[in-house]
Amino acid sequence: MDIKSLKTILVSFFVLSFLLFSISGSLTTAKAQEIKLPPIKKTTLDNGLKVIIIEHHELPVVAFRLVLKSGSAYDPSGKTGLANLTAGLLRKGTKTRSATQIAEEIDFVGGDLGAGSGLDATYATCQVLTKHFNVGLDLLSDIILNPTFKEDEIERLAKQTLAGIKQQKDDPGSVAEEKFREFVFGDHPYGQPSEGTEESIVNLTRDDIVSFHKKYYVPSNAILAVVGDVKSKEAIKKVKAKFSKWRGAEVAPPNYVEPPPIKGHQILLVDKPDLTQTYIKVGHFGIERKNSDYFAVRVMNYILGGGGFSSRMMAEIRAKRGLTYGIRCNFDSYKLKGAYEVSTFTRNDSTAAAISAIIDQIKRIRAEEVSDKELEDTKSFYNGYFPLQFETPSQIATQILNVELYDLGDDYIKNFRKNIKAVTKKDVLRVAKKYLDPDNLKLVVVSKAEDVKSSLEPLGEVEVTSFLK
Amino acid sequence: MSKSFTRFLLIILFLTFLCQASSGQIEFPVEKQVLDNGLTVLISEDHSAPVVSYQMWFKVGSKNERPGITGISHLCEHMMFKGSKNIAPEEHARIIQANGGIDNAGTSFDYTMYWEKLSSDKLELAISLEAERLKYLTPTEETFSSEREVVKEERRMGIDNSPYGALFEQTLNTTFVAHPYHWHVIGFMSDIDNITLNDLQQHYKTYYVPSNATAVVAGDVKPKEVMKLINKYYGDIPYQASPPQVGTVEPEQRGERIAYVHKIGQMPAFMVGYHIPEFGHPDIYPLTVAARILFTGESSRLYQKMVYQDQSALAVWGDCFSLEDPGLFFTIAIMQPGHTAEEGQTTLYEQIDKLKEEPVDPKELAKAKNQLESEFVFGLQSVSAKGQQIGYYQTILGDYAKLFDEANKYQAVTTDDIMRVVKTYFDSKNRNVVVLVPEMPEGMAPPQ
Repeated sequence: MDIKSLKTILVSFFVLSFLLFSISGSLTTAKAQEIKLPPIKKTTLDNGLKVIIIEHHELPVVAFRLVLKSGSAYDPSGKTGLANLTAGLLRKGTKTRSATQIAEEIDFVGGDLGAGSGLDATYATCQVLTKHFNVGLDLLSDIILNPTFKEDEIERLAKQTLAGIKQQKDDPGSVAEEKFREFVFGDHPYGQPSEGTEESIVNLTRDDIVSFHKKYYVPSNAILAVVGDVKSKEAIKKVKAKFSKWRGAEVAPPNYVEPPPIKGHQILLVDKPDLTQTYIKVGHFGIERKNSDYFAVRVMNYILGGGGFSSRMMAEIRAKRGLTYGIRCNFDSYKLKGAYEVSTFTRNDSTAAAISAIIDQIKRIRAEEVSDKELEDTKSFYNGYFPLQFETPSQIATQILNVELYDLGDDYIKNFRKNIKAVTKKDVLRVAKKYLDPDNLKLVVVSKAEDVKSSLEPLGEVEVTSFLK
Repeated sequence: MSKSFTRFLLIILFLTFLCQASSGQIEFPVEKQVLDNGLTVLISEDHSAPVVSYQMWFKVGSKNERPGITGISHLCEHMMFKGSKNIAPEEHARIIQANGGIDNAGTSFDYTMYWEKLSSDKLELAISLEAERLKYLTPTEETFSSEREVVKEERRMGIDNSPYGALFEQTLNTTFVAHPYHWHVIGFMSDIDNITLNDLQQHYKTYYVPSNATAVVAGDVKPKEVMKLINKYYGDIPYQASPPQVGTVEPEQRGERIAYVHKIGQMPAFMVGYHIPEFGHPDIYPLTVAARILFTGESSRLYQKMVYQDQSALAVWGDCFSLEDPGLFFTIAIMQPGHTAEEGQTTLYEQIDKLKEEPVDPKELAKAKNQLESEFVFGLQSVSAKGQQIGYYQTILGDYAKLFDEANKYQAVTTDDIMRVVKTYFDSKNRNVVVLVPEMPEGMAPPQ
């Protein structure tokens, strides 16, 4: 855990919110506002590095975001956590700077500098005031191009990472998240936590790290976005000066193990005996990001459980029955099929009731068409909300880089609302039937096992494990 | 994709909190008006995106509660979504979403804030819906009893089943003995159970009045048109006197207090709280600078010592949490396996003592000031963030414009100031320590 995430945890104790989940969506309106994107310059350097410069002059801030199209899904078998540890080590020393020097330099200008891996990509980010542009770019390029991966730094960060993994096990929400992915995907890379496991971290060697860096930190595998208070011409010149000598071979994607099939209701009960509340995840495989039904699935999911108070699950399970503070469902869509998952929590004695209510809602959306009002409200939400996501430099960078990372096409942003608008009630029913399977589900339940086990048994086969495993 | 629910939530909430740390030379236009009924209106015009943030701030939070009804401010915030004369339960949020917007609300110790963010041509919708629930809330036994259960789930999630939530609640319980900051915003479970519909109606009538509220409009709007809408929807509410202020003064602490929280888990941790003055007090500035030197960034003294060199802690962090009444400076450290909370405290106190004895290096001071400048600018990167800053200053200090003085106040901090405040407040007699003691479940050995 880094300082920032700790800070966010603590800070949250000071303000309580009404609504736990923000809406998983992206769009907006009746009288559709234009999406006002600032000028975007795209260029590809001779070495293959794609550079995107977005001018945004509202505040004297510049954000750099470098994406490598290799995330933890590229971790070799038994080496889970390699991509993330490699990224974490970037800040821990280069040919000309020690870890402490890097920290001193970025802190002195009050900037943020960080790196880490998700499933599909590795990110290195830097945010500084415009007057510190050169410091930001210099540090970012140095940590990408010249990391030294010293043994003592590897040992130190591996130890930190291990402690972070243990620390997450103290938090039932994190336990549910990790166990669910592992339960659904098995040995498939999407089943493994990006930060690694207690077993895998100790297996990572300096050779693994150096070779991961050599193989995947190459210009043809990278996109750099520079967003903020900059002039494109000058920014591109400076980027070229730092990155044009970067070299490396083309990247070959790894082979993946197929995830195990799901048969019936398989329940993994994770015992943590001091819990008075049960964390529940229900789901199965979802869709890949480039699935042609993406927009219809998105609309269907919003109505079912993705749309906050506009969703059926929230209306029934929170608003009407008071069984939870929050419930949502989501199709994680990545390069490969992600998970479809419903997430909630409830007091121990209403666990079975909450699960049954979830399954009922999944069955219902597969049985009959949604109402005209549900469909129209959903389209109207996306129509209005989509432009709201292009307000700040980092929001814009995130959106544009996602289009690049998942190869969604240059018209993706322009056509998003049109694609949502084209979804019909029949489409919603069709994709609900195709991508939801209430008869074959995996359930992860983190609770005090003796309180809930007997109530789960009528729902399916229950396997019990400990939160420590 | 979000790593976990909790983290997802925390990030959202963090935005709300940036209100408090600031510095920088940026100023943006704000127009202030006050209606005859006492409603303060702040408008910040910003045409960089076709977006508007509408926020209603009420000066009521858990500070305004008393034993027996702790948590009522937060419960009342929840009930504001459960229906009014012309709007059915949950319809407020549904209407906003069906118009392409998002909305939420938050309750803190000193304030409650409701917000909508939507396309700027929809401002009237947000204003009309907020005015509706300020005028015509209709809580019933039925809506109240189901929402009470929702809030109990929220407490189970955020406090009872969260190691750091439990640690934080105990830190408040230990640090404040007389002042209502003694309890967490969520309230005690038995109070959440016992609050009646009548209690709730009284609370709403007392605090949800225009003279106790500030409306903030930030974004792609014209002030004249905004005022027309505000007058149209809020102008007919009669004046009602502002609610009474809290008179309780936390007595001076005369010795260290230590408490323990035992939880099933693996990682020891501790929190330390020192009493400090209220938000806006001159000593808050050097204390905030001291916090940057001790805790901000990987080059900070405590990160370097505990996380990097000794490798005794997984994470360590601290800052001023200055509130409307005297608040606390708090620190948290999560220890590495094999290291104790006591060991962590010794290191923390050594580092604090060093600040008392040796003047801070000028470069280190400059770094802290640069960090505060960046924090301030980074915290203004959306119309909602701007609105939150001015709304917070108006609500807590009674004057949004004080926000724009902050930068100078931080820049003026000297090494002597730092030494003086560290000696004054970071005294062991003024200290409250809460230790999180991890325990293994019966019959289970800790994994190696």
